Amino acid sequence: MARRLLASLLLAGTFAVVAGCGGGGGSETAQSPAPPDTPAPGGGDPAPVDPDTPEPLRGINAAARLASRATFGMPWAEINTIADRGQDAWLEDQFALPPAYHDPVVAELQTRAARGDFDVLDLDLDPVILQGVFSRMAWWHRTLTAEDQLRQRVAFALSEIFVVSDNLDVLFISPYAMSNYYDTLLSHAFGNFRDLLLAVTLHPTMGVYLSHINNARADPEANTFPDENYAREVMQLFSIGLFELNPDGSERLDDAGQPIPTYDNEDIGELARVFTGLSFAGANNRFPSRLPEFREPMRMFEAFHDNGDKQLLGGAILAGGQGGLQDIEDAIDNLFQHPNVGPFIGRQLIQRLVSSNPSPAYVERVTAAFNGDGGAVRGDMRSVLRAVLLDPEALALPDPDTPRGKLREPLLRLVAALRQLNASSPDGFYANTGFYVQEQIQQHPLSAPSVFNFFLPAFQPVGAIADAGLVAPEFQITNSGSVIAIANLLQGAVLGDFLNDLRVPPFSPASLDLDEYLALADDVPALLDRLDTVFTYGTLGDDSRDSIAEAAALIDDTELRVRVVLYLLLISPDYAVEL
Amino acid sequence: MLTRRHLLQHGLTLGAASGLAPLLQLGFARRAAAQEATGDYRALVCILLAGGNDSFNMLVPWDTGAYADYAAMRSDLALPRDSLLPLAGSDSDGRRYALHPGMPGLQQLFAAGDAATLSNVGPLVVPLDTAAVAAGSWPVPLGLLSHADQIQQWQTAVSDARIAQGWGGRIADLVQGASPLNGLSMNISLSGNNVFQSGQVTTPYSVTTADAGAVSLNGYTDDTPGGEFTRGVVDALLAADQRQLLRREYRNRFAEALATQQTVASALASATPLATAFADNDFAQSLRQIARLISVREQLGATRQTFFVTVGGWDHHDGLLENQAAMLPMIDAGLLAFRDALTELDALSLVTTFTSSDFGRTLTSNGKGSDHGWGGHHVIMGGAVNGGQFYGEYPDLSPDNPLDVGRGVYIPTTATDLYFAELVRWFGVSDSDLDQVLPNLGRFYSPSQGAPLGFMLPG
Repeated sequence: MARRLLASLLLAGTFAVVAGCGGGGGSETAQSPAPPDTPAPGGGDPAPVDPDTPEPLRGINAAARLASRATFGMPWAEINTIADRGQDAWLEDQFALPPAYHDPVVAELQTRAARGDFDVLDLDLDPVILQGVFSRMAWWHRTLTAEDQLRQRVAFALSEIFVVSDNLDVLFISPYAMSNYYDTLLSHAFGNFRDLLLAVTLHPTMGVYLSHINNARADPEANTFPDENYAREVMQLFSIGLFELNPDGSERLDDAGQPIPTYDNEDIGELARVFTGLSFAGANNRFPSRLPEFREPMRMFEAFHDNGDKQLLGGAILAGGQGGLQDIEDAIDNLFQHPNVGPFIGRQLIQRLVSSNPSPAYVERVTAAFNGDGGAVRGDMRSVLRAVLLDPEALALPDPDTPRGKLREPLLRLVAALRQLNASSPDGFYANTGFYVQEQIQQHPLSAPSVFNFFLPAFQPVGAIADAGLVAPEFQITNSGSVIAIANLLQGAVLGDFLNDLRVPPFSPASLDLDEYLALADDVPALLDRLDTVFTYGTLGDDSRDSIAEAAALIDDTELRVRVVLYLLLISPDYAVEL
Repeated sequence: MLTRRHLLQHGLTLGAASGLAPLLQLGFARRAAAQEATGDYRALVCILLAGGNDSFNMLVPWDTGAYADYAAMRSDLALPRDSLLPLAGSDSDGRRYALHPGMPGLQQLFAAGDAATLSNVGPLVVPLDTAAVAAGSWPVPLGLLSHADQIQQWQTAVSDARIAQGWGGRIADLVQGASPLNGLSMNISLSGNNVFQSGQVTTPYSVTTADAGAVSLNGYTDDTPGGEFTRGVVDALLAADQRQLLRREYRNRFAEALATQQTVASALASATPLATAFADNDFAQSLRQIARLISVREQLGATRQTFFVTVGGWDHHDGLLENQAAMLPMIDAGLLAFRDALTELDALSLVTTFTSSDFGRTLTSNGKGSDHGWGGHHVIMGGAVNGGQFYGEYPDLSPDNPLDVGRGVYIPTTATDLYFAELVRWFGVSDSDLDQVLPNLGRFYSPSQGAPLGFMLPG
């Protein structure tokens, strides 16, 4: 496959260059004084009033924890900014930032390719195939450098719910298919869920991925029927789920104690008729079309839309003849108004951002926010995100005796480490295709093996977690190979300065800025204090800390000492699992 | 790898400068399991075609009347009859079948008696009862036609409950318990974690297709002072107490992976290179790795193993014909090479390979492909397979077949319980333990009936 070839060509170039680069650096251990380490009080945090509200984590550690959940990772200086602003105010600041879209990065790369900038790569490759890398490069560059970190992080969480994947070749090869889809998630991340669901539904990338593009109404003579794929998944995965839910996320049960299905196969058949008649927009004017246009929503071709009456969930009837796009708007509204959406989507957002096993009460509060109980309109994403990130349960003091928290996804663990350690490129462009990362950990943005993402929300790993009746979705991609592979990636980053996989001209190797930690190299307790704040917000276990301190004591070279300490911290279970 | 070089450099500097930490042991030493050392060996290889292979275009009716029904039902999805690869012989009703044009290897395996087909198999809750179907009281599997449920049920063999343990995992629970020999699970996955191989106490061990088999932690296995330093500090870190449940579980997985990796890597390092060539795709390379692992079964101390490999991308709502034309040949060539490699290892009769998939698909078209269905056809391959035969009942594709529940979705005529029971019995699970592996089997089968389906040779 072209992708395999591309990956091997790019990586071959990479290694040829890395082979010539030196080790971790010399012994420039200037004894600069440690920067002031006084935690800034979390100014905006209101004191708890309700006696049932758990004691919150406060100050710089609370800021570091919010950074861990609501961004792709923040270095010490940025964590201090959050602490100074207070968690609530910082969230509002983030809501107000303009989106850093990915399409413009792809466009810039296209321009550079067109003027021959990448000819020096000397890849024996069709330039059309090279384009397949650009949206991946846009993701890495934006994720590592964008200011609107909350929006970028939420879009990533949404990309793991509204899943599309570039493992479909046509999506891989079309330069804007993935970047424009991601931009759609960015654009609606702080908007309304109803608009998000509609935009996802009409996006040609989703149309291709779940095959409702070029989907024609039934033709009895040819014995063909509408494609049922999107009709099923938009209900099962993107809005209401399989079973009726209580507002706290638990399943409603019928008189026989059985869960109550939200829809049946007849409902799917009816909804499949709604999603007929869509094809590419842009210059295209025929149906079906394979002329790709991924930067415009799909266009309705009424002649191929089923214009008869259709029955929606709850018995609502779509009157025939009102037009295809109106049918789709009404069907999306029908799903959006379903009481399941709040708990179904809310619980998954908690899982992606905060904790694998939220209490029913936490889910119910997020559901209330989704439903607009606090005064906002139904589906307001800002209200939902405030509820997810600022819930008393989310803000409570970490307690190692509870099963709160979640395992970091391997991709997010790597990215967080890079950002926390100030990774940057000398030319300002963080050049990474992610092929190497994906090969190692089998995870890359917008590249899941199926519409069921890399892991399921209800995954229960064999052993103590399942025995306790808990879920831990990220453990589904944690196995004897991946636990070691992610450790190797982190080792490559902090001990090998291997941060990005496009290191050949016209691109450049990125590097870490460890100065703030090198300054603490001779005071190991202070170094560990600082690292505990930035990376584990005060939850580094005493035993882990002691073992890292003992390792540090064995190393005379100060820079090496700092790097080994970082390595051990990053591979520790304490960093792997956020409490 | 280059990053490893860097650590090595660092490590050597350290060794000279500061002395070395003692190598800490983690205490994951395993008691020897009740497995016999060598001699008796059997393996099951599960190939999961994730997404729902349209198997009605893999195995096609060949008789002219049946083919005409097929072509009418499939409309634009019908394969031309003159492109098909006919198989020798006929089923018990004298009906003949042909393979997808992209599967000449399977045609060859079938002719050699090394492969068989099983028609219209799928999850059922209870045996078919047409009166109950008509009355609407016949229970059907949970989440019928849905990927998530159906792919799970093919792995759990339980169609009326959502559970996390697979039948391969339950075999391992039974055979090896919580303490596998050498710490290496008898369930080995080329596709990461999966339901099929997970039991109450069993997790699959993940290997890659790389020659070393299992990824090593950079620097950790080096036989140098730097390697010793790395082992010392990493082992100490992982010996640290972890109170929190998720952290403790993560730590355990990490530590076990480090311990077992060396067992697998050293065994594979001793493997004799295979003369059989495998294509350069993940599926073929996975089968190559399975063959290599089987070749070192004595070094691993394995007497029973299951292997699992997933090939995704079969959800062909769109582009069915061109996608299958690209993907089935890959499966076909992989199976043929795997057979050849097992023959080379003199292990063909010790290893049985079988396919599974979410479901069959609608016979009718959506204009581009097919939608989710129920019953489908499967392939079993190995020296212990009574090959060259058609098992199960291929449904009549005429429009008035009562098994057609709409759009050419067929009620399975063989329950997956029976399919798996045939394999499990061959694997060596005693009749009295069958219900521990296949909890619903008793609804379909009693050991007094003899072989459930007969596609495995006796003995």
